[in-house]
Amino acid sequence: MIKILIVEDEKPIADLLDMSLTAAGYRCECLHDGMAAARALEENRYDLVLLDVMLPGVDGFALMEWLAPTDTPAIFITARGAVSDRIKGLKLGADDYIVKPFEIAELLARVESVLRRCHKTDSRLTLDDVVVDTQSHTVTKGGVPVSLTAKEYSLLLLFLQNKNAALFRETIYERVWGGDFMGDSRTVDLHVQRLRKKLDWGDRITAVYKVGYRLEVEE
Amino acid sequence: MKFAWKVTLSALCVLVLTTGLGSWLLISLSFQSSLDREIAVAREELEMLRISYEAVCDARGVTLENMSDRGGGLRRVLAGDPYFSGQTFRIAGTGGDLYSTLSSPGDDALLDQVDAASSGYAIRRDGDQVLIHCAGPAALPDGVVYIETERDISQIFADRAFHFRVYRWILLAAAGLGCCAMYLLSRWLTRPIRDLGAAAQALAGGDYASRAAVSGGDEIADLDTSFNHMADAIEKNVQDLADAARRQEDFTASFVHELKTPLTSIIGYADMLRSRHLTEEQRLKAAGYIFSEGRRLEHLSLSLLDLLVTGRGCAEAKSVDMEDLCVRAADVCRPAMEARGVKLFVRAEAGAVQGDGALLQTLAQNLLDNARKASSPGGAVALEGHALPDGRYELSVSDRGRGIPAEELDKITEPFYMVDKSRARAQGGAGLGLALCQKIAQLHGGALRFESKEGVGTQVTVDLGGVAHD
Repeated sequence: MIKILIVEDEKPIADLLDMSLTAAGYRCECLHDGMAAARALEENRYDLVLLDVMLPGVDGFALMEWLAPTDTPAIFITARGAVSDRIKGLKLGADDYIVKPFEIAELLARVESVLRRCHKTDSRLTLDDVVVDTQSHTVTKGGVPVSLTAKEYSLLLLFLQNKNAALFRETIYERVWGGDFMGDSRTVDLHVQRLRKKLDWGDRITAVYKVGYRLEVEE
Repeated sequence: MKFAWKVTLSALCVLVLTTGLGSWLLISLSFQSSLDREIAVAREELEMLRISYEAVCDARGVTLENMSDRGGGLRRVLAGDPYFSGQTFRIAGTGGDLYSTLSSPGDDALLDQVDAASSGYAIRRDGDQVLIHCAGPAALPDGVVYIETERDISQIFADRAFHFRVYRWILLAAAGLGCCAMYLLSRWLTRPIRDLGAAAQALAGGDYASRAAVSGGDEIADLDTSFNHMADAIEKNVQDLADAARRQEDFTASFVHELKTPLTSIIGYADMLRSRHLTEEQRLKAAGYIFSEGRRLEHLSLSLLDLLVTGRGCAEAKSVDMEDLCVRAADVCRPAMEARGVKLFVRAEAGAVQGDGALLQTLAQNLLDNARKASSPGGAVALEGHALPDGRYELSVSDRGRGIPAEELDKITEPFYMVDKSRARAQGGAGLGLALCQKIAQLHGGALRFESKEGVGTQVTVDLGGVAHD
């Protein structure tokens, strides 16, 4: 099981990260200050560290010194969205950057993609007879390749990262198309229809009334 | 053109003009006196000659009338006598030359100028040779003849020309040497100006610590001193601006952080609630966080509003009874104190301050709240009010709480600054309380003073002079 260390001094946010990552199937450990995090990093091994930049004691940027020798991937979480801050974080060796406030879907997508990039997880996602190879960006159903457009592929990944979650149309639009949702839901509906048809997932991807869609998976 | 060159060239002009003119005058004067001497000598010679000639003529009985008869004898005498033969002269009568040993034809124009009563001279130049011709009458018993002598004065002209040549070289050498000396001298004199220029350039280039070296007591030193005063002022202004900008930046960064932290929780938990299946326990936790973080946001916005409104100044200043105010503030805070097991003592003297009563009460309450938060159960907090002799009123709040680290004391009135962030959060603070207190104190002509020792307690004192009238 993937083990994630969360270093965040704001308890509500630490709990939020813990709750959502635990629900997504990760094992989490929460720490609230930099010194404790530094000690924990020396004693234990983690697959990923989520780091708040503004921490009491040792700040997030400084913690990178403890992180670098352990070769543990890190994602910064910060209220400061300035480009210079992002560059500083990435230069120090962070693998990604999440700016507060964030949506759960964004958090999960970034965590997943960093883990995959660092080969902490299997590069293949499976549900039923559908196999998604995230390295070659190919999808097979029962061993037969399914041809998906880039948007359909992103949509499929989003569903697989958020199993059993009701994905709102605006969330889907923002995650897949990467822009502000302007209220036109037809684009989203059209792509979901096509994905359902291509994977024969009419009963897997269900419509949530007036909200969006959900990928239903038995626990 | 460089200033040093200007000084050098103008000094050079003066040098050349004065020495040139001076030496020209000197040479001319000395020449003139030589010439005058020569003229005097020539006149003397003429006079001697005239007397001798008259004597000879008298002795020989030569008159104009018989001159043509006796001329031969006279001429022999003149040629034979060593005195006369050593002289070059001519004797001219009205009819023409009677006798001449002159090297030149003689000067008839000069003879025309003189008459029986006067003599004269003229200077004639013939190539390099300059002669002075002197002419005057010689009296014979029955009339007048004219004697003309000549004297070679080429030498004094040659001397003058030589002097001019020599002085030209001297002038040239003096100019060259003077030029070098003046240039070096003016470079040396203008060095402080160049240094000042370099300092000014460094200042303009952003090196605000750049200063001119002040040496001596001349005008340039005065200028250096003035420049340094200016540089001090500029450095201070730049520093103030940078400080203000940094405070503004800190404020913005803290504000964004304080705003985004509760927003992150609210948005995140709301997102969890709306899109995930949660257990009852998780659902309550999420809803609870949304509520408490929403409250925190509300508190933040109200505190900010207070800070903003107070920053604008107070609407109306009235005489505020401080004794009454202390009692009221204590009454408001007492329940919370007692709930925490902290004793509250109030000792206020009668006194009044011109100001905004509501703001002053907020000040007292905020200080009391801080004291309560710092105290542990069983502690004590004292609110004291003193009327000062100069009409000011001093409020002081002391506790026996955990104290403030010395290195944090000067930062605690900055907005969003929290000594112990997690504890401040737990007690619902946004780090704006003391910033507001400081604003209120400033508005009433005072400032917060902190005395604190870790583990012993803290005393905050603020002296209020009343709202300043414009």
